[in-house]
Amino acid sequence: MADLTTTLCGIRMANPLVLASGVLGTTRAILTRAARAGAGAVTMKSISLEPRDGHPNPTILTFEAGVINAVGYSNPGVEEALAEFADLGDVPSPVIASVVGRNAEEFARVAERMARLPVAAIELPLSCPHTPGYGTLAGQSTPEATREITRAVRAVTAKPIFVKVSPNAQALGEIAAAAEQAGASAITAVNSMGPGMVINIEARRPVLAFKMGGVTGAALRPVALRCVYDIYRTVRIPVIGTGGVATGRHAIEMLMAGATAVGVGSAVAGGGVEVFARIAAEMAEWMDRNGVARVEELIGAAHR
Amino acid sequence: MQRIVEQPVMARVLERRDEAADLRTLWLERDMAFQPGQFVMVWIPELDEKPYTISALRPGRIALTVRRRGVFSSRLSDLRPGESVGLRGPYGKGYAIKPRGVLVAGGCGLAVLAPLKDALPDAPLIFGARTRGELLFLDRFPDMLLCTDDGSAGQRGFPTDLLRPRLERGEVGVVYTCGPEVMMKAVFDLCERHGVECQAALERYMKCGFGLCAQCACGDQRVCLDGPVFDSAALRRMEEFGHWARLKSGRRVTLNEYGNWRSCRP
Repeated sequence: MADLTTTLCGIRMANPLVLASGVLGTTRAILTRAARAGAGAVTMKSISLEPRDGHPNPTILTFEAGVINAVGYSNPGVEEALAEFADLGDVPSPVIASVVGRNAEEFARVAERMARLPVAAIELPLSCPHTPGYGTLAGQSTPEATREITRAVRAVTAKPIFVKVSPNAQALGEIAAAAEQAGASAITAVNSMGPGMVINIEARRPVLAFKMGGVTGAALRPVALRCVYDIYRTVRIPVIGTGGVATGRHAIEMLMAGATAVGVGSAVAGGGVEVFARIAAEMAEWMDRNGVARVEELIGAAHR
Repeated sequence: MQRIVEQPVMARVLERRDEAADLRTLWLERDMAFQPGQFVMVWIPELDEKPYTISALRPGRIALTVRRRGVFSSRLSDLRPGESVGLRGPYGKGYAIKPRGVLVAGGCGLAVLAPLKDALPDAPLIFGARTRGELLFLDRFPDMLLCTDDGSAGQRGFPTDLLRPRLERGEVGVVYTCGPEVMMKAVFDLCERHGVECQAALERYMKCGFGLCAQCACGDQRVCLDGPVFDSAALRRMEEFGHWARLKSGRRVTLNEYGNWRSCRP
């Protein structure tokens, strides 16, 4: 039987599958459930300095090729998060804290506190396309901002830092390189693309309350795969390939493009929490059938 | 892989009927395969989207029973025949019907249990409210066993007072409940003492409605997809049940504070 264990920035994982931020990650109990269901690592929903209600509903919809969302970083704020996630002893997989801020100083303030939790890594999404004041809409998706924010967070924690990048970025290679030079430990590629829009033609109105939202799921997968492929050629730090992965074949595709670990998010909408165990089983089955003993034999295979 | 498209589809208001001072039923043009206990997400374009139960079903039409509380429920109540509202769903898991059931409703929780009573016309229905003016569906269910906190209609007291003797006589196979969560917790605790299964429909602030965001987490359960109806085994494991709920931001507060935010009793 194929060995699915992998090591990401020194973090031992039972399999390469990472619960992506923004899906299921609201509470310690839900993270525990996702980890027990087979996620090799789990990511919290992003935490900001102050509590945020996010955008009004509708915030999350599906369409025929994926998910579109404009949640708007609803979260209880760092103070409450420190209590909610104080004890992660029940969670059988490593936990990644996702941290957001309006500027480098705020990123550092939140990251410094979240890093005190028993988390394995800090993820910095510099790439949300639908929250004013944050991510792409705050100009965080440039090489300069990426360097500044990553440096600021590197100064307050020794834990691994994952910089999450946008598939929209023209200068994706430069952004990944800036993150690496500033002390990032890995690149999470990618955040949602767009923003896109859905209009109800009877109501003659956009359905999302924010009108536009980030596009994930099947529509994003080939774009994410290309981004991972490009970033793998640009930097030496590992890549967490995220975007539309719903089957074992998709996950192996990501590994071959250069990913060391594979994010899974939108697939929970169709496949439930059980999706992690199913994808892992499909990966193992394919590896057995094709004489691949270990995950690392697949990483970057499409480049060799 | 399962293909799903979760988007609202507009439905026209056919007629509306006042149930009580601040309570109105809207009949919408729609056929729906709906199990009692499930919910739909109701969308008012450019305003918001919120979960509601279907309170009655007839061929070609479904009913929403709406209590006027805030901006959304007021706008919904004020929709006139011919105007439209968006619906997606139904979502979640409904009640699992078993022999010798008793229904226990509190306040507007009766809207959730009403279609179950339609399906089980012989099952006893206990309905409690704070006061006479908050009673609803008196004509629809003339056999209801009523109680009010202030004694202004039916027996003075709580639904548990009417349920207890039936449990003691051993005539109850399962209790289906919906209402303020402190009442459901009392009903559940009473059922536990008598070794009788309880199925409770929980309410939490929701976003996606289909299990992706876990905004509605209660313990490790998603109210939207794993519930909203939970049986005794699930309720026993749910330490937040009867004690805590989460605001829009995800901040955990007491049911009292949550109830104040939702401007309804906990």
